Amino acid sequence: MIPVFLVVLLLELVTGQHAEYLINVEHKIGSGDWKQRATIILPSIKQSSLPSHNTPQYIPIPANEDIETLKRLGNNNSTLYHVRVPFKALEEGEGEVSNYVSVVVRACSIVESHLSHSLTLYMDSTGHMTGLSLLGSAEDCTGRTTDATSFTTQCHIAYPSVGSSPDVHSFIQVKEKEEKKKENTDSRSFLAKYWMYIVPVALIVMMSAGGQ
Amino acid sequence: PLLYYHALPHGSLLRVTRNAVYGGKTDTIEIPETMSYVGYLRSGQESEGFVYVPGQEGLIVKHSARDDSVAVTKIELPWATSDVKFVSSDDSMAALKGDILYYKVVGADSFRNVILSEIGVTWKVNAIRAAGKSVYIASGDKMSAVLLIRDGFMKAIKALDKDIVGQVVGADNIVLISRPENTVSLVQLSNGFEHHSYTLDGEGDRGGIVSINTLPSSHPCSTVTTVKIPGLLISWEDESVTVVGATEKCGWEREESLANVRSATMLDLPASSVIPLNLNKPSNPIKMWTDRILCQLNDLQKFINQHFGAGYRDTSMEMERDSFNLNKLILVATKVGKVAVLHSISGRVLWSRYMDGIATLENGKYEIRLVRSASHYPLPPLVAIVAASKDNENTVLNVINPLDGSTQYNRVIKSKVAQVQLTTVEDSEAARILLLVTRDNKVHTYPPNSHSLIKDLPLYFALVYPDTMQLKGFSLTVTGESVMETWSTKFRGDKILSVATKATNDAVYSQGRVLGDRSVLHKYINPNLIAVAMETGTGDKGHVDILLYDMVSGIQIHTVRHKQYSGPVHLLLAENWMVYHLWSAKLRRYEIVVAEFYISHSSNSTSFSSLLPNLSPYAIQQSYISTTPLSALAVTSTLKSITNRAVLFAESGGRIASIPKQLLDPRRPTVPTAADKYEQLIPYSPLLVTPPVSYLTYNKTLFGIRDMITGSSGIESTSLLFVYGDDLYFTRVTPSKTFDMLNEDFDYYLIGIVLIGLCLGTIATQALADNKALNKKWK
Repeated sequence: MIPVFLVVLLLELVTGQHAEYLINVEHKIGSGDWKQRATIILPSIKQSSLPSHNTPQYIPIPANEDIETLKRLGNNNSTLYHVRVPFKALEEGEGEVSNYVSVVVRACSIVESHLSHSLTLYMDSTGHMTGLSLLGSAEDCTGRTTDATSFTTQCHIAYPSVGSSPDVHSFIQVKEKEEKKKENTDSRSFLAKYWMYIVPVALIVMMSAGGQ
Repeated sequence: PLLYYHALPHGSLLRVTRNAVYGGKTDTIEIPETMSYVGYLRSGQESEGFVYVPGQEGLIVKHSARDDSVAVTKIELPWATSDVKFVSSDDSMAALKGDILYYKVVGADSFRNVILSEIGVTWKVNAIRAAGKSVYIASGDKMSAVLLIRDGFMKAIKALDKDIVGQVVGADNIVLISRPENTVSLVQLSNGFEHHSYTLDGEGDRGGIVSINTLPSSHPCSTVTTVKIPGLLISWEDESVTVVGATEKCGWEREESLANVRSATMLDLPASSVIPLNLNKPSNPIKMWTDRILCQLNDLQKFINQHFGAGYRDTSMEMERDSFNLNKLILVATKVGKVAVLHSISGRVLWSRYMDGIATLENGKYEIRLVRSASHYPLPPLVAIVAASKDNENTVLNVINPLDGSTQYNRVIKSKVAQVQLTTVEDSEAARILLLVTRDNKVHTYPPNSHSLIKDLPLYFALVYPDTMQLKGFSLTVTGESVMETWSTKFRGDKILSVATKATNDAVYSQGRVLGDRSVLHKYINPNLIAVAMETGTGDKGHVDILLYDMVSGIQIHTVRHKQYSGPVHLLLAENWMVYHLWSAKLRRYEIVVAEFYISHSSNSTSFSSLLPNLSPYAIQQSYISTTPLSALAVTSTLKSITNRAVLFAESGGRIASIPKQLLDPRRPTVPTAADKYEQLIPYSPLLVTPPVSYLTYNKTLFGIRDMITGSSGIESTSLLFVYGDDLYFTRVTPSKTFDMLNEDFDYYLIGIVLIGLCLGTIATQALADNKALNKKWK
C-alpha cells in the first residue's frame, strides 16, 4: 500500500517537472491596446484523472489590469471588453503564435459583477484552444459601479465532452430481463390450469341433477 | 502541367504541356514556361494548338493526321497584350484589338489583320463571338455584323441593327437570333440572303444559345419546298429548349431550368386583389364609409359565387390570400440565373425570367430576402436577390416585384459579398433596409445610401472561413458604413462539414420543461447560436467535432467530440436543442444525436443579452441508430411555435420522414419509472424506426433532393414544406394533427338542423306545458 503511494508520488514529481505549458491571457478595453492580463501555467495538456495535472495556475498581472479605465469606460453601455489567448498553449522555448482565440463582452457587465468572473478555456488534447467562455454575474447594465479594485478570476480548462453513441447494450439487457420474466409466468389458459378441479365438480353437479 | 491533348489516329496521344510537346513521330519540343494556352483548331486532317506569351511571341503546334507529324512554328505577336482575348471557332481563330481584327485559319503561319471599317463595319465593335466554322459575329452597342473568313480573308456578309447571336447550321447556312425580340432567321452564308424567318413564341431574354440543331427533313416541322427549310431545335443558356418549325403551326418550348433550383423562399399572397384599401390616407369619413361598404359588398358577392355559383372559377382568386394563409407563392432561383415564381396550389409557374450575368454565390446558393411585403398597397412588394456575377468578381443585387417579376432596382457592386442582413429598420416607404457587407468590410445598403438610418443599430454577425478554418465575429461600426472584427477563433481540423444557425423566426413557447416529479428544467434559449461541425482525419483515426458558439460574443457554449466518426454531417439548431446526423466509421452505420441545453436555475432578468453572459448551460444528449443516409434536414415552423415540432428527414432514397420531437428526446429512459410514465416519455430504443405512416411523400419518390425549406402558414397547427432538387414537392405538415381546423366531413347541416329542431322543440314544449298548467288551474 505505502510503496504504491510512494511510487505514485515519485511519478507525479517526475512528471510534474516535465515541461509546463504557458498561456498568456491578454485583454483590451474598448479601442485601446492589447495588454497582458495574466499568465496561466498548465502542468499538462492531456486530460487526466490526477487533479494536479489539470488545474491551471492563474497568475494575474495587476499592473496591466487597468481597473480605473474599465470603470470609467464601463459606464458607457457600448464599450466592449475583449479577451484573447493564443491559439496554442506554448511550451517553454516556443515562439509566439500569430493566431488568437478571442471573445468580447460588454465592459459594464464586468464592472457590475464586481470584477469577479469565471474564465473557461476550451482546449483539445493537443493544447490547441477552440474557444473561451467568460461568465460574470451581472444580468443587466444599470450603471452601478463597484468598489473592487482587482479582478477575481476562476480559471478552468475544459475538454471536449465525449459524444454519445446509441446505448444498445443496456437496451438489450432490459429486453432480456423482460424475456426472462415472461418465461417464468404461466401462459396457459384458465381452463387448462384448473380443469382438474372443474371436471369433478361438474360431474357431481350432473349426478345430483340427474338424481332428482 | 498539361495544356491540352488530343487523340491521334492509331491510338496515340498528342500532348502539349508547359514545357514540351509529346507524341507523334517527332521528339519532344521545348516550350517556354511563360506561355498561356489559347485554343485548339481543326480542319479535316490538320489540327493546331496555340500557346503564347502576352505581347511577345507564340508557338503554333501543328499536327497532320496524314503523316502523323508534329511541327512547331514560332510566331511574333507584339499586338497580343494580356487584355486581348482570343476566340476560336472550329477551324479559325480571331482576336479583337481596338478596331483591328486579327485572324488566322488552320494551316496559316501567321495572323492576318483587317481594319474593321474597311470591310464595312464602321461602328464601334465591343466583342467578337464565334458562331461556327470560320464565322464570327461582331457586336456593337446596337449593331451586329456577321463576318466570314473566305479564301483566307475576312469579309462581312451581313449587318443588322439588333443584338444577335448565331450559329452555323448545315454546310452553308447560319441561324441568327436577335435579342430581345427573339426573331429567328435562316441566312445563307454565301450571299447573305435571308431564306426564312421563323417565329419564336414567348417573350423575354433566354440568354445565349448553347446549341442549335437542324431537324431532319422527315420531321413534320421541316418543309421541303423549292428551298429546304429545316426545323430548328435550339437549346438556350437559360436551360430551356425550343423547337421552331418552318411553319407557324409547328413548334414547342420546354422549360428545364426548374430541375436545377438553388434557392427558394415562400412568400405570402397579397390580402386582397380587388379593392385598394387606402388605409394609410384617411380622407373624409363619408369616403371611408363608402369604401368599406363597397369592399364588404364585393366580399359578399364573392362568397355567394363561391358556394352557390355553378362552375364559377375566378382566377383572380388564385392571387389572393386564402383565409388560412395556406397558399403561398414560392420564388425559386435556378443555377443558370432563372428566377421563377410558382403558385403552391398547383405548382403553376406564374412568371419566369432569365437574369443574364448572374451566378450562384460561393456556397452554391443565392441570398433572397423579402424587403417589403404585399401589405403596403399601393407600394409593390419587393424581394431582393443577391448573386455573384458570372466572372465571380462582383456582386449583383436585383430587387424585383415577386407578383410580376418586374425589376425595381439593379446594381453591380465591385467586390465580393460576405454577408447579407435584412434589418428591421424601415425607410419612409416601408421597405426594410437590406445590408450587403462585402469582403473589404464595407457596408452597402438597399435602398441606396441609407447609412444614416442604420448607424446606431446593434448589428452583429459571424463569418466562417473554410479555407483558413476560422470563425470571426463582426459588428457594425458607429457610422454604419463598415464593419469591424470583434472576436475570432481558429479550428484545428481538416474540413468544416456543416454550419447551422437558428431560423430568424424561431420562437420558444414555454421557458421550461415540467418533469414527472413536478420539477422544472429551465431551457437555455439563445437566439444567437452558431453550430459548426468539423472533421479531422479519416476512418478509424478520424473524429468529428461539433462546436457551439454565441455569434455575438464569441463565447463557446458547448463542444462534443465523436471519435471514429466522419462526415457527411447534417446539422440542425432550433429552440434549445440541436439534432445532427453523422456516420460512424467504426461501426459502419449512420447515427442521429440530439442534445438539449438547460440552465441550472432560472435567470431573474426578463431579457437575454449575448454581451452580458451569466448563464452556463449544460447539455443532455442521446443518440440513435439511423437506417438511411440523408440529403437534407429541416424542422417544422409555425406562427407561435405552440405546436409540437417535427424534424423532417429527407432520405437519400427520395422519401421525406416526419419524426415528432418526442422521439428525439434525450430524456427518453431505458427503464421507465413512474415519473417518466407520468411525463409520457417514450421508452428508449437504440434504433430510430420511421413507421411507414410518417412518410410525407407516401408512395412517391423524389429524385435528387437538394434541400428543403419550411414556412409557417396562417394557422398554428400547419407548417408548409417545399422540397427542391430534380423534383419539386410542396406539402403541409401537421405534427399535432389539425387541432385548430374542423374536419372536412364536419356536419354543418346536421348540427344546424338538430340545433334548430331543439330550439323549436323547446319553444313548442314550453307553450304546451304552459297550456296544460293553465288548463289544470281551471279544473
